Amino acid sequence: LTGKYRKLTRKKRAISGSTQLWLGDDHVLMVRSSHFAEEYRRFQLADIQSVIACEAPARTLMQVVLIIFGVLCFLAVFGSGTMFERVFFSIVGAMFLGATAYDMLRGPRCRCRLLTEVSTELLEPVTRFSDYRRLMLQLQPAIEAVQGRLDVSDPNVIIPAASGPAFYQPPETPIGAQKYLQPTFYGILLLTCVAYVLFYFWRYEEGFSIGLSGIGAEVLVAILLLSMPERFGVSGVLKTLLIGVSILVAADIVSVVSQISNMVYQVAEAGRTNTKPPVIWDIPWMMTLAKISITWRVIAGATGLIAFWMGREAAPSQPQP
Amino acid sequence: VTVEIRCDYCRTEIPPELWNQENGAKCPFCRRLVLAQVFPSVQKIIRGSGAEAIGSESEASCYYHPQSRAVLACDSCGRYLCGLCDLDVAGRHLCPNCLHHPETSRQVATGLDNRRIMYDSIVLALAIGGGFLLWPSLITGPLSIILAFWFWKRPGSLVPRTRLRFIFAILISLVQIVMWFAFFWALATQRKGT
Repeated sequence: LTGKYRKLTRKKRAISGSTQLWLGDDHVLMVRSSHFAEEYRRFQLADIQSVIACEAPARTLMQVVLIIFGVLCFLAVFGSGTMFERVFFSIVGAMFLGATAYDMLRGPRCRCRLLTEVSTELLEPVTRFSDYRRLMLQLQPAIEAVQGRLDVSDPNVIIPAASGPAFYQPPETPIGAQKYLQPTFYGILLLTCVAYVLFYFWRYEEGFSIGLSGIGAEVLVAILLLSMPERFGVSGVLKTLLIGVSILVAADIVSVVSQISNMVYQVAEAGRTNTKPPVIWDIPWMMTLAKISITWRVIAGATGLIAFWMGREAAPSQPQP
Repeated sequence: VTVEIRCDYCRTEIPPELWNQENGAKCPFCRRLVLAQVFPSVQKIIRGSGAEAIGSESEASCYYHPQSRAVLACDSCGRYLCGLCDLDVAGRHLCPNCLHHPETSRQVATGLDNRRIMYDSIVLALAIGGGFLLWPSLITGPLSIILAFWFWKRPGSLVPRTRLRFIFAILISLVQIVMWFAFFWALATQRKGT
C-alpha cells in the first residue's frame, strides 16, 4: 500500500502538525498529521474541477522590519566590547537577514485551492507560485490522463455560471476580537510605560521586570499585526505608526539583549577568575532605558489609541466596482 | 450547475478566457495574479433528485421533511426518506444523520482508512520525554523498547515512511538503561567501598 504514492509537495509544518500532498493511482491524498496520528482526505482525479492559485498579500512590511532588526544587530556588533556580544549579535543578525533573503528568494506568495464538484479545499503546502508550478508539473498530466484537456475556446464546451454575484464581493474585514488587536497593542505600550514610571519615579524595582515582560508582549502582538495587516484592519496612519513603534521596540530589545549579554560575560569572567561578580544590573542604564521608554511609549500609545478611535468613527463605506 | 472559479482575495469570478493561461492572468477587479487550471469535469452535472410533495394522507412521508413523499428507507436506521434526503453512498441508501455517524462512516469507507495512529512517533516521544525528565526514564526506557517491538508490525502511515523512529526509540532507550545500570553499579560499588 505504501509504495503507491508519489510526493507532490513538501510538508507544510506548524506547531500542531503538518500537511502534505501525495499523488495516488487515481486520487490526490492530503495527509494531515498531528504528530501522533494522521488523517487522510482523498480527491479523485476524475472529480477535480480546478486548481487555482491566487496572489497573496506581500509581506514587505515584515521584511523591512526584519532587515532593520538585522542591521541593528550588526551595528551592535561594532558597538559591543566583548567577544561574546560580537558573536551573539553576528549570529542573530545573520539569522534575521538570512531568513528575509530566503523569504524573498522563494518568490511571490499565493493561496491555492482545489475545487471538486462538492468541495473547495485550501492546499496549505502550496504557499508560493513556484510551489504551485511544481505541483502542477505532476498533477496536471495525471488529471488530464483521466479527464482529457479542457479547451475553453471550443464553442461546444458548456461553461457553467458561478453562483452568487459575479463581479465583486468586498474582501474580508476584521470581525469580532480581531478588530481589537490594534487598541490592545497600544494599551500594552501604555501598561509597559506605567511599569517603567513606577520604577523611574518610585524606584519600584519589580516595575522594570514587568516592563521587560511588556516588551515581550509588544513583540508578539506587533508580529501578528505586521504579518496580517488586512485581517486586523491596519492601514493608513496606523500602519506608519505601527512600523515606527516596531522599530523602537526592536531598539529596546537590542539594548536589553546587549545588557544581558554583558551581564552573562561579567558573571562568567568572575567565575573564571574566581572573584566576586560585580553589580549585575547597571542602574544608570536601567534609568536611561526607562526614561526613553516612558517618553516614546506615552506618545505612541496615546496617538495610536486616538487614531484608532477616529478611524472607527469615520469608517469608509464599502467600495463598489 | 455552478462553478466557483474566483479570485481568492476579492471573490471576483475569473472569466473562462482567463483560465488555463500558462503565466496566469490578472484578476479583473483587484489585479492580483491568478493561475487557474481548469479541467473538463467542470462541466459535470451534480447528481441527485429533488423531493416530491406528498399526495394523500395515506402516503408515507419523509422523516426529515413531513411534507415530502418517502421513496425508500435508510439502510442503516430504517427511517423513511424523500428523494432529497436519500444519499446513495457505495451502493447503500443512507440518511444524512447516518452518514455523519462515525460507525456508519467507517462501514461506508471500507478499505479506505481515514485515520491512522503513528505508533512509532508515540514510542519515540515516550523515549525522549522520559529521558528529559530523568527519573521517569527508569520506567519509560524499558517500556519504549517493549512498545517498539509490540507495534513494529502494526500498519503505519499510508504514505512511504521508514521504521527509523522505532530504531531511534530503541537506541535511546538502550542508552538510558545502560546509564541507569552504570549509576546503580557505581552506587553499589561506592557503598561496598565505604
